[in-house]
Amino acid sequence: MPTTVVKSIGSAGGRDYSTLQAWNDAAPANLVTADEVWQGQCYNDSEFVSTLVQLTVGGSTTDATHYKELTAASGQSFQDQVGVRTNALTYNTANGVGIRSTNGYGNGSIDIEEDYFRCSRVQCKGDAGDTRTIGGSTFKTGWIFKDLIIHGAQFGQTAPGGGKGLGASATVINVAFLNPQASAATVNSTNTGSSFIACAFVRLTSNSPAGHAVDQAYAGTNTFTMASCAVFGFSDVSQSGSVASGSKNNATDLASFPAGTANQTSVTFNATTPFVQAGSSGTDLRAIASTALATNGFLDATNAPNDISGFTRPANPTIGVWQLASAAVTTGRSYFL
Amino acid sequence: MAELLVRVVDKVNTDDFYLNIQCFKAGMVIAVQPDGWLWGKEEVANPAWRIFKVPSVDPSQFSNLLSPEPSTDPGTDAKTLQPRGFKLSLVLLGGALGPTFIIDNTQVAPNAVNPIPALPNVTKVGPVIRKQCAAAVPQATLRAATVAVTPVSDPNAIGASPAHVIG
Repeated sequence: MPTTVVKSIGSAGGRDYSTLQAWNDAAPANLVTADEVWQGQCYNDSEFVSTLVQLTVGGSTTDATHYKELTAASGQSFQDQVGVRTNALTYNTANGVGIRSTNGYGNGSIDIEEDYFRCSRVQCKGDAGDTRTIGGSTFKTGWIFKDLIIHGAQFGQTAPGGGKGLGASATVINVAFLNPQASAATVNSTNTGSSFIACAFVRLTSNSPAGHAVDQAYAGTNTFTMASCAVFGFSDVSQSGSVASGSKNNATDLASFPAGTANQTSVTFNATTPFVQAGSSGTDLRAIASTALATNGFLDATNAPNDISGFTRPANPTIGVWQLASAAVTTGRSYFL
Repeated sequence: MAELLVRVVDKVNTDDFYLNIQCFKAGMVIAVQPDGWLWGKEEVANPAWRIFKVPSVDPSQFSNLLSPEPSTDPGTDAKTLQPRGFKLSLVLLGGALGPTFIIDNTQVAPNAVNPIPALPNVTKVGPVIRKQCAAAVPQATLRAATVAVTPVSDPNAIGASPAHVIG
């Protein structure tokens, strides 16, 4: 059983590290032989912001049970706020840890160059130009992303060009993707076997419809699965042959969903439906009531028993990251470990 | 003024050639922050790191020391690109600061009177270890010590070395 080594990261003084990169650099070169999970817990002392890549994750030997994980410390995530069910679901550092890139073109905030990296409970934004956030520049495997708010495009790819992206067997759970770009894909995926569970892919209405939700390299050979995801504002979900037949219970404004079963199609999409606000101002990706998203989702009790706010999902959940509820009762938070 | 967190010994991954390239090596700058930055407990105490102050220079001037090695062929895999395209020559820095500061990981600040205020985030266990250089590094010295990293050839790429050329 690996030991989880927890290190604090923040700018207030008294933390283990004040920079994300130092946290990575201090990790053992071989987490497998060290028998460790190297976990960095971010504190919302101040926004993590830079014009350069703030964290290159790399250098360590990892596997599925020995890996690096970046997350928010207890009480420091947007998930942990008392007003989590009433706060707008959008990038806002007043609500929790935020990592932002002001780079006008390329690279984003976090560059992942090793296998099995995990990231959870933080917000990430690409400010200008390319709006990249998190990704890699080489083919990796086994990444897991959970309970994130991502404001940007081309998630999964760090550097422009080169065709790199999510890699093989990535798992993306409860991630709210808000794509501000005119046509760039929301996610770049480059290998097969990735899964998107209870995510929301939304392009601002001012730029809709346009581009792919997921840009999949080698479509037809490489496929990914979508379950209980909301996909709105795109010209298509992905290239033909990319969406695996096992996909199910998704919702889209498109006239058809490329594969799978029990999908909701031609769902009305504008600035105020099916999300609170998908326009360019005051964005809020919480689902509203009385749309085709309600009760038509798929419950993945293993990976996504709770929604992005920590609210328990019923057997017939709301499609996407946000579970509609008649009573705003919150339950446990969704830590990885 | 800027403060630089610099690795002074190679980090090595002996198990994987490509992961080893991703490990920061001696002279590579981990982070740059403004003067007075509240470094973390382990950033101050890690014997593999040092903190240098550079007067009269904004942190934004050090982007070259924080940028990855650029690709000369964007269409090829980036597996041999190093996390930093430039690093600091510790030989040249040692000549300016005195070699003891870089080599000796048990040392205290080189000045007899330590002008650094007591850091509240340093837990004193045994001798006080200060990795923060009390003497500022002139920008000219830092600039003279900045060198490009040597590109790494991929041993598995055909044509990367004479042994892999076909014909």
